[in-house]
Amino acid sequence: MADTLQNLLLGFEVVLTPSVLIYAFLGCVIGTIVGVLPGLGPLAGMSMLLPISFGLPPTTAIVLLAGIYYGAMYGGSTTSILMRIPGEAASVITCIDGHEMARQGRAGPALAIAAIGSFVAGTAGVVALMLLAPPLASLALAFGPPEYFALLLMGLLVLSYISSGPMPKSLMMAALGLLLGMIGIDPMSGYNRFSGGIPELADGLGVIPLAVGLFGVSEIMLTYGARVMRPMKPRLSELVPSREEARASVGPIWRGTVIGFLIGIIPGSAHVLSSFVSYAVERRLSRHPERFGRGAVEGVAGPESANNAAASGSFVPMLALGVPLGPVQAILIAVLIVLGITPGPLLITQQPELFWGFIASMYVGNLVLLILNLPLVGLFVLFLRIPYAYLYPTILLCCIVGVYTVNSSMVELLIMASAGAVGYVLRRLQYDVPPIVLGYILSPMLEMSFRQSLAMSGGDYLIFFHRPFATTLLAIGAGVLLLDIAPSLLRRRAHQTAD
Amino acid sequence: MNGPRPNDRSRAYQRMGVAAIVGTGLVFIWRSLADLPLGTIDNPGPAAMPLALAVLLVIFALWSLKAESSTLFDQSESPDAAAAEPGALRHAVLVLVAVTVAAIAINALGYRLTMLALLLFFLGAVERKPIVTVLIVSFALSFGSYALFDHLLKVTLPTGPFGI
Repeated sequence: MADTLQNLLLGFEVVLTPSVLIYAFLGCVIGTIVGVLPGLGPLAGMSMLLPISFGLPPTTAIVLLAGIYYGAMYGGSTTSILMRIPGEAASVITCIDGHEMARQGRAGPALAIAAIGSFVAGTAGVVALMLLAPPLASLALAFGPPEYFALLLMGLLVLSYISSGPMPKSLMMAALGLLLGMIGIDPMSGYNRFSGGIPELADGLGVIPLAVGLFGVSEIMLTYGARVMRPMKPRLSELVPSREEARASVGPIWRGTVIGFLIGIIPGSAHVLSSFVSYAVERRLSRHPERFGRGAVEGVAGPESANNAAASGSFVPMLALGVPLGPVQAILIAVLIVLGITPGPLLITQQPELFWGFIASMYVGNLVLLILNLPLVGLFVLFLRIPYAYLYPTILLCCIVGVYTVNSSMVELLIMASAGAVGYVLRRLQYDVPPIVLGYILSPMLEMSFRQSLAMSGGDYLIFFHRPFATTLLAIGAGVLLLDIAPSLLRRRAHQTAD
Repeated sequence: MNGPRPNDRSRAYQRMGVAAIVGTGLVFIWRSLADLPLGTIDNPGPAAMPLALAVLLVIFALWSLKAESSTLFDQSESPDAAAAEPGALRHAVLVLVAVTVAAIAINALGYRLTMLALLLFFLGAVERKPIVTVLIVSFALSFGSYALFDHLLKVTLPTGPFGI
């Protein structure tokens, strides 16, 4: 514990330097704006703003991008409450009771409870992350290629299971991402795979053009004729919740924090799932479930706390194992790799400034967001009044400059445009796009760990079942697959029996 | 003379999407077998993993088609998710063409001129905003972002004719 506190102090020494502090603040502001603007989620926002991070030291870059992520989590609730428009997917559930509270003249307390819940959950989540990540990283040092292969496979299966679409569609997207990740030189044999003789493809498609195209460009292609919003603006004096509202929020905030953090560790876009689970739990526990949907403060406090705690929880596998099990973490890992940092369990010992600086920045970020979100809520909703006609060409400019600055490559801009077109078609056909990016990032790790496992065992495939941890992870993956298949098999059997 | 029902159209779009993905999988299978050594079962070569994944892609695509068709059959009133109104489709095509042209032009024309042309096109020609606003916003964003990246963040961006 003393070591942890000492390391945390080191983290604060890193973060409380003016340059890092400015970028933490900047990340939170940009993230809040991204969260406030409907359609632009944390993924699209981070993808488009990646280039800003490339000229920065690794710690500053990660602090900036993480600030954008949890800033977007905070900002998303503002439009949900004031306009019934979720700024990002995790805020969908806040629309229900948050906007009802706003319609009853309680917009201020709803915003305050959302911000306080987010702050408490975010901070508690960081404490849990701080305590959990280092021991998990020590454990991960005992991981060999079979364990990594099993973990990555399980991650992809769980992500596909909890994605918004049907599992076969998500699995298809993950497989497509894995295949795209194999374009370029195979690090084990040196063969140039599927690059079609284009020299720029020898290093692969590149996660930045792929992510910016799939999330940023396709978003602009999909958003047509968005209207200028006229949100209601609560005054600062109206922000204080009543004693009854404050008392009713305490339980949901803590329950949301625990639920969110635990779900956050699960692979995938867990922050979205966590807010739904928290809402369901609060409704189930309430003595007056009929109030839900009619402005129950618990329906704001629980989900908002859960999605922020999930944001912290989702960093556990990324920081402890170096394995991104969600698209946001995949982008952060990609940035670390671009900046020359090798993510993995050794990150904590080899880059303590980065690891503990990142943890400390989350404390600072949560405080900045609390200070920003309440008094400046009126300022942030002003962004909704920028006409879309001016907004989308500006976002396009950000996408182009973002991709171009990585390698000054025209080919990467064309990859971005192609990914935009593919993303547009897939999203129109209701496919889930994040598994493509996650598959793309995990592809080299998955293939390498698979081939290394076989090299270790002399070609014996049973190596995955001789190691208890790998077997457990594979069993979880298989269980998830069965969970999806079993109901339809049972239905078919019932039909056959009836016939 | 009724046109296709939204549900039929949606099913047709879904099938076309799955066909495109199956096609992608088959291309990967073909190139894996044609260009790369497969290796052996106990020592897989560079073609093995892509081949296995491409086969899985095709299997998942067919599985999703089966699942989708039974769902669509059950939900005769499901919304026509894939169909876009003509204005939205035009917007998507314009964005795609503009980004592609900008990608091709950026090295020859330079960053500032390419972005200026892109913004003038969208704000002036597509959105038909007042000319003075269009000029101010376009020049400010293209030259301002160049100054931000090139001078402040020290990220080199291409210059075009006359060093612009």
